[in-house]
Amino acid sequence: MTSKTKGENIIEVSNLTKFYGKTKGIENVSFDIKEGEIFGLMGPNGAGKTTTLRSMLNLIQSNSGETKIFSKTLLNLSKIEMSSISYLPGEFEMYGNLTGKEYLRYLSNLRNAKTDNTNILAERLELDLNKKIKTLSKGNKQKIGIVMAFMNNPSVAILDEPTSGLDPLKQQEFQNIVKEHNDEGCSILLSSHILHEIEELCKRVGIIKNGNIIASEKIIDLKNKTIKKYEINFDKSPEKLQISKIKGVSNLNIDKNIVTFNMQGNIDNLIKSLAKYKVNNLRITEPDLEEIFLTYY
Amino acid sequence: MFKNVYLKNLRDMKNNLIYWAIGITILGFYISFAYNSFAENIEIFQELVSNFPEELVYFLGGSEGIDMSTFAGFLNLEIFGLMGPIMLTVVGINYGTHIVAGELNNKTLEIVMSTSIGKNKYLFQQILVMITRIVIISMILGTNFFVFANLFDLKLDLKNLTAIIFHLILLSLSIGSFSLLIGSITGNKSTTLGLSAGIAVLSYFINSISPMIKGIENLKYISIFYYYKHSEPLINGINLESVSVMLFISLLFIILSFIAFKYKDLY
Repeated sequence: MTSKTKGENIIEVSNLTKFYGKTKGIENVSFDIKEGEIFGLMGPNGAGKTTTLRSMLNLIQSNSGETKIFSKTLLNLSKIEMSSISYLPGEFEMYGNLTGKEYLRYLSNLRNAKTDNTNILAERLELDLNKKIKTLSKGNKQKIGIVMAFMNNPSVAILDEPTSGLDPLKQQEFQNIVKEHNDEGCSILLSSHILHEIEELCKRVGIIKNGNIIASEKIIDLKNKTIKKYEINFDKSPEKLQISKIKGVSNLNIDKNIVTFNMQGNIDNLIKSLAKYKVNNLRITEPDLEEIFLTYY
Repeated sequence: MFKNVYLKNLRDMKNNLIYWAIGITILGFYISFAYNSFAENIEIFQELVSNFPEELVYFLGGSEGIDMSTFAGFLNLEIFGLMGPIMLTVVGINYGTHIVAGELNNKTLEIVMSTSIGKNKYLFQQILVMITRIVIISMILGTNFFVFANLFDLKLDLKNLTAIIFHLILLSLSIGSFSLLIGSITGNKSTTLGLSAGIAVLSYFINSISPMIKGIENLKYISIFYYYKHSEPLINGINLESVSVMLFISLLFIILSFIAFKYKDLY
């Protein structure tokens, strides 16, 4: 793997813009990925995720902006650096006349790869590499894609909807593979609309909407910014006025001793206000990524 | 065989080349056997052909003063006038289309191009595959007629046979390079196949018709088939002028393909 100081940006995307004729694909997309990070790119179908990844890898010509990987534009990367980047497209076909083994050997050779974990990964995913690709199911073809993405121990893996067509058990195995490679230093860009997968794997995400990045931060920060649901069980019914005065409280509802409300932001005022009362139980419901995501749409 | 794009694609065409070889061998045997069987009465055949309307002779890929009294003259009309150019045009168009438009159509190119191979190296190796394919099929054709000519004791000059095969290779390469260029610009397989075949047919007709119509005789110079056949290489050997033109056209289309492919969105 290419050596790089931990914490440095390994991928920097700046103002990437791509128009298909007059139709906007993406516009001024910017984000960065640090070494050893798994960064999630979220957005519904057609939001511009695939266009972003293709533009980053020069598979399509962007109108403006640039991508730097290992602090270099793609054209300036050495062969070795280029070989340490793997890409799994969202929609791809393989040469049906080849077996899985032949196809992966071919790609490995094109990458000039020095390491090869093909057999280990295939075993973990219960994939028969001796069958002709044209005879494989969609799920098994996707497994070949996953093996392809990680077989050469990449420093950077760019994955577009990697678990499409996989059963839940194999999705779990995929997550294990991603985590293990990440532990070994692989930086990963994971584009997906399966939000629980992103939540499970990523610490930081970018949300893309209509070709623009509308948020790019840590999932925990996104959650903190989002409204949480509170349910407090008091010993005796509190005064409504007192609770409603707390900054950020909305949708207040008092049903005898049980008070429910939504609140956004710092909870310090809430805790101080509650100190006056005897509280039997306090339940805070954190929004999941899906709920956060939906607030942007 | 999976070391690089060139070897992988050579391996892919193995079966296809075997079918071509079988087909061409049957054709070679049939044509040689047929000529041998009526060689004794060749004067009658020559007289018949001499009475062909000029238009028909040109259409069949022949030229003025067509001579069927020799095996070379017979092959010149029967094989290298129409059938051979059609076969090698198909070979050129098919592979020229496959390199970019075909792979994009099959959605197989994106992964290949995401490796460290780079667009120029990919295109260079694929062009080598196209040339190899054209050369192999052309050589099977030439070798067949040389072998069967000897087998049936028919006179065929090896040097001139090599000359027409060389012209045929360059014809196919020119047309294949054109398909490659169209494929690199459009990225669309059906458009590339249609446009290439259309231009090839048009080019053939321009070469066949223009010499017969006063005022448009010079149109023949824009037809690639003119450079392939007008000098009758099977009778007169290699024509350096024609070879140069076909090489220049191939090279021009290939260079333009590199430029178009560089800016082509691969999806």
